[in-house]
Amino acid sequence: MPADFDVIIVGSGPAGVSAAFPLVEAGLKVMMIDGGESRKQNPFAEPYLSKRALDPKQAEWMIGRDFHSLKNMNAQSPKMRIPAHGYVFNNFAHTNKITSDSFVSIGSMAQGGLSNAWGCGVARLSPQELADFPFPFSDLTSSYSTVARRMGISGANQDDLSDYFGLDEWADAPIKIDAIQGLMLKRYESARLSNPNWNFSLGRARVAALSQNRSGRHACNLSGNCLWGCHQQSLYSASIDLETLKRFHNFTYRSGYIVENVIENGQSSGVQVAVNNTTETILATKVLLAAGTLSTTRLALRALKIDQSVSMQACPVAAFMLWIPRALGQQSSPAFALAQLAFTTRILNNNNQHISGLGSLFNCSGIPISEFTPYLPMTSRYGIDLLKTLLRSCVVGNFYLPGYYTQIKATLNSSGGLKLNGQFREGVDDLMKQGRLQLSQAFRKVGALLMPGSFKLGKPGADLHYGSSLPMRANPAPGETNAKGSLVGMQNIHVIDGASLPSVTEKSHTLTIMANADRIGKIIALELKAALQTKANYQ
Amino acid sequence: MRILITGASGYIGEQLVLQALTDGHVVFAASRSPIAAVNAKYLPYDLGEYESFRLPDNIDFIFHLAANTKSNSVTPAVEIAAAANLVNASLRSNAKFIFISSQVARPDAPTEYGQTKWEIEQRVLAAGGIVIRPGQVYGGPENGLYGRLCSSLRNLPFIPAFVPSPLIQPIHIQDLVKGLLNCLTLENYSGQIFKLGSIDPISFTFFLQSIARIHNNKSRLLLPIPTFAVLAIIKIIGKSFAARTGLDKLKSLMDVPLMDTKADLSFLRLQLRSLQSGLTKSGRYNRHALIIEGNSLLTYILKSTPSVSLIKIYVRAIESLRDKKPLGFLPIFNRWPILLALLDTPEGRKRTGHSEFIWRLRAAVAIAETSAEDVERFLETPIQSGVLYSTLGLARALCMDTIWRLLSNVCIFIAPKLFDFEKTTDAC
Repeated sequence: MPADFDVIIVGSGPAGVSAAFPLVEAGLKVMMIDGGESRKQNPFAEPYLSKRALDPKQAEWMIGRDFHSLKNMNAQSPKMRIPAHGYVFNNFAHTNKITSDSFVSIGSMAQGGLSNAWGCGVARLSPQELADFPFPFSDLTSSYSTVARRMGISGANQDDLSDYFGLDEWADAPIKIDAIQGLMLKRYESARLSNPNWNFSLGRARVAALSQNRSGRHACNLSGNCLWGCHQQSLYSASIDLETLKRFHNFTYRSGYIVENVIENGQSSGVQVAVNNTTETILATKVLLAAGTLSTTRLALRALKIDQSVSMQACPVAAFMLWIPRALGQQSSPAFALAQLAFTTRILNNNNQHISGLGSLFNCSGIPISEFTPYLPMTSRYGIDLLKTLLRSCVVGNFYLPGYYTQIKATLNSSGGLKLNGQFREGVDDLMKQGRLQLSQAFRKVGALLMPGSFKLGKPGADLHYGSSLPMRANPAPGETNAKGSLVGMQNIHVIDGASLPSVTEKSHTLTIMANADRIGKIIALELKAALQTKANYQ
Repeated sequence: MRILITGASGYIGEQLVLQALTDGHVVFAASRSPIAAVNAKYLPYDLGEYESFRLPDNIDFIFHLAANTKSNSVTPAVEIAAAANLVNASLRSNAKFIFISSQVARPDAPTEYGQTKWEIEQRVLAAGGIVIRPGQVYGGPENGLYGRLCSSLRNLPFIPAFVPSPLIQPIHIQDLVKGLLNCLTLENYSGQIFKLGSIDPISFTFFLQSIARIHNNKSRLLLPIPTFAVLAIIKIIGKSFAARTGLDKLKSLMDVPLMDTKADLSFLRLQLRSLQSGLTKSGRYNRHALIIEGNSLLTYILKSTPSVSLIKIYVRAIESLRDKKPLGFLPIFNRWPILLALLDTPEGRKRTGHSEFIWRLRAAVAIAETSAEDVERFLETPIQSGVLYSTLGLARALCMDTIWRLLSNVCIFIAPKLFDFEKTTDAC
C-alpha cells in the first residue's frame, strides 16, 4: 500500500514541531495531527495591575464563566485554575484513557501542547548528564543551538549559573529584574565573596521569553500577565512554531484527530485516528510519537502489546515563600512573572552522593491572594490583610530534585487505557528537609527569610516533568528505544518526546526534548531522503 | 370551565381566582367587595344576604370559600343556611360543588368554627360534593391567619412557644390552590373528603420560628407559654372577646386532629413544597438561603457589603458546582458576618464536617478578589505603602487574627452549637 505521507507526527507540542522543521526543510511530506483544543480567550493588552483595578468583569477571566478556577480549586498548580488556560489541559485524561493513583497526571490536547502554559524554564544538559544517552553528547550540541535560536531565549548573564545552564552563547540579555530580586542578587554577589566554598549558586534564570523583539514577536513589556496569557507573544509556545510550519507547502496539519492506534505492517506504518466520530487510517513511511510522555507511552505500549508496567520518572518538587524584610513597604511595580532568579544547591544523600537540586524564584504581584490564603495559618479575613501588605516584599519559589526520585509505574490495562501509579523514592523527605535547611540558611545570607511552614512538597507528578518511560538505550530491551527513538520491535515508529529521554534531571527537560526531537528529525530526514533517492535511481 | 368562587376576596379565594384565570377558566368571583382581578366577573355575595344571590347560568363548578370572619359577623345558623342554599342551587343547575372546610371540622369540635364547618360538610357530602380539609395554610400574600402570624411575629420581641406545642400540617397556599383546581379533572367522585396538608406534622413552634427566620428574616428568642394558661385566659375573657382578638383560632389550634394526608395528596397529584421553600419570596428556599450565605461570606471577606454581581457569582457557582444547598450555619452569622472568623481558624479547617464550609470560603475569597470596586481590599494603593504603614498593617492583622482565634477557642467550649451546620433539606 503506498503511504500517504513520508512522516506523520503525532502531537504539535515542543517535540513535534522540533522534529517537523528538519523534515519539512528536507522537502519530505509531513503530516502533523493533534487533539485540536485551542485558545478561546485572547490575552489582553492592559497590564495585570490596571486590569485588576479597572475591569468590572474580571471574574470572567479570573474565575471563568464556567467557574473553571473553582472547579480546579484543589489542583496543585495555580496554572490549572486560570480560565484562559483551560483548553490546554482540557479532556486530556478522558480522551487518552489515562487514570492515575496517587499521581498527578496532566497532559494536553491543545495546538502547541503543554507549552501553552509552561514556565519557560530552559537548560542544557552537561556532558556528564548526557553520559547515559546512547550517542555522543556533541550530537546534541547543534540541535540545542538550532532550537534555542528558534525559540528565543533570554537570561544570558555572566553569573554563577552560566555553566550550569550552558545556554549563554545562544541567549539574549535577561528581562529587567524586579526590585526585590535585584536586591537579592546584589546581596548574593557580595555574600559569595565571604563564602568561598558556598554550596549555593544564585543567578538569572534562563527562560524562553523574549527580552528583544524577534520575528513578529515582541519583547516582554513587564505587563505581569505571564500567568494569564502573554499579549506580546514574548513567551515561547510551540503554537508559534506551528504557525511557521503551516507555511510549508509540504506540511499538512490536521487538528482534532485523536490517535487510537499506531500500526506498523511491513514497510509502512500509520495511525488510526478518530475524527468527527469516524475512524480513519492514515499511512506513512514513519510515525513519530510526540503526543507528550503520558499519551505517547500509552500509544507505544498498545502498539507493542506490552502489558507489563514500564517505569517512568518525574521530579519531586517543593514550593516555598521567601520574605525580604528590606523590601517591606515598597510599592509593587510591573514585573516579569515567570522565573527571574534561579538557584542550585547540592544535597548529600544517604549514600554520600551529592544530589543536585534546582529552583526558581517568582514575583508575586501577578498571583491572586486567594492562591495564598488557604496555606496561611490564619483566618482568611485577616490573612488577606496580612498578605496584601506582605506579598509585595515576598517572592515564591520552587525546588526540583532529579526525576529518578519519583518512581512511577505505567501499565496498560485491559481496556487499552494507561494506569499510572507513582510515589517518591525513599529518602525524598530527607533530601527535601535537608534542602529546606540549606536553602533557609543560604537565603538568609541574601536577605531573605524562608517563611515558616511554607516549604511544601507537592504530590508525585505535580511537576509535570514526566519522562523516561521508553528510554533510549545503546542496547534497548523491549519497551525501550534506540538512539533514533525507534521502539524495539518496530522499524518505523519513533518516540521523540520526553518518553524517550534516558533520564530526567532536576533541570527543565523541555529544551532537551526539543533538541533530541530535532536530532532525530535530522537523522530521519537524511534516511528518508536517501531511500527516496535510491528508489528514484532504481526506477 | 365556568367557575364560581365565593369568598373570592379572601386569602385563599384571591389566589384561587388568579390561578383559575391563568388556567384559562371563566371565573365568577363572588364576594362582598370587588376584587382586584379584572378578568374575573364580579358578583356581589354576602353570607348574611344569601337569599338574594342568583347563580349565573351554566356554571360547571362552585368553590365555596365564603365563611364567617371578624368583619362579617353572621351566626353559624346563617352560615350553614347560606351554604345549603348554594348547594341546592348547584344541584338545580347541575354544577359540581367543592367546599373548603377545615382540619378542625367535627361534630364535637371545641369551637363553633369547627362545628359549623362540620355541619356544612354534611350537606355538601349528602349532595355528592367534594370537601377539602386543608391543614395550616401559609405563604403568598400576608393575609388571613398566616398574615396575622407574620405581622405578630414581626412586632413581638419573642416567639411564643406553646408548651406542649400543638402539631400542625402546613400546606402552601399555591399547593392548595393547585389541589383545588385539580378537582376539576376528577371523574366519578361523590361525597368525598380530601385532607390536604404535610404528611408529617410539625410543631406549631417550629412553624412560627420558620416564619420569623425565613419569611421575616429575624432572629427571635423563644418564650415558653404553657398551653393551659392560654385556654384559661380564653375562658376568663369569654367567647366574643376571644373571637375578636383571634385567640379563639388559637384555641382550635390546640385541638387539631392529625390527618392522614398521604393518599389524598397523591390522589390529587400534589407534591407539597417544603416549608422552607414556601416561606421565601421566590418560593425557592435554597436559592434564597444561598444569597444570604453568599452575602455573609463575602461580607466577612471584604469587610464591606458585597455588590449584587459578586453574590450572583457565588450563588451560581454553588448551584452549578456543589449540592445547591445552603451550609446552614446559625442565623447569627448572617447578622454579624465577622463572627465567621470563629469558624475560619486554621484549627477549624481540620474540623470534621467543615470541609464544605472551607471550600465555599475559599470560593468566596476568589470571587471577592475579582471585584474592581474592592480592589483595595487585595492590592495596596501607593498611599498605603511605606515601612511604617506596612509594619502597622502587619501588626494589626496579626493582632486581630490572634484575638479571633482566642475567642474561637473560648467559644468552642461555651457555645459549641455555633460550630454546627444545620442539615438543610429541601423536598423541591
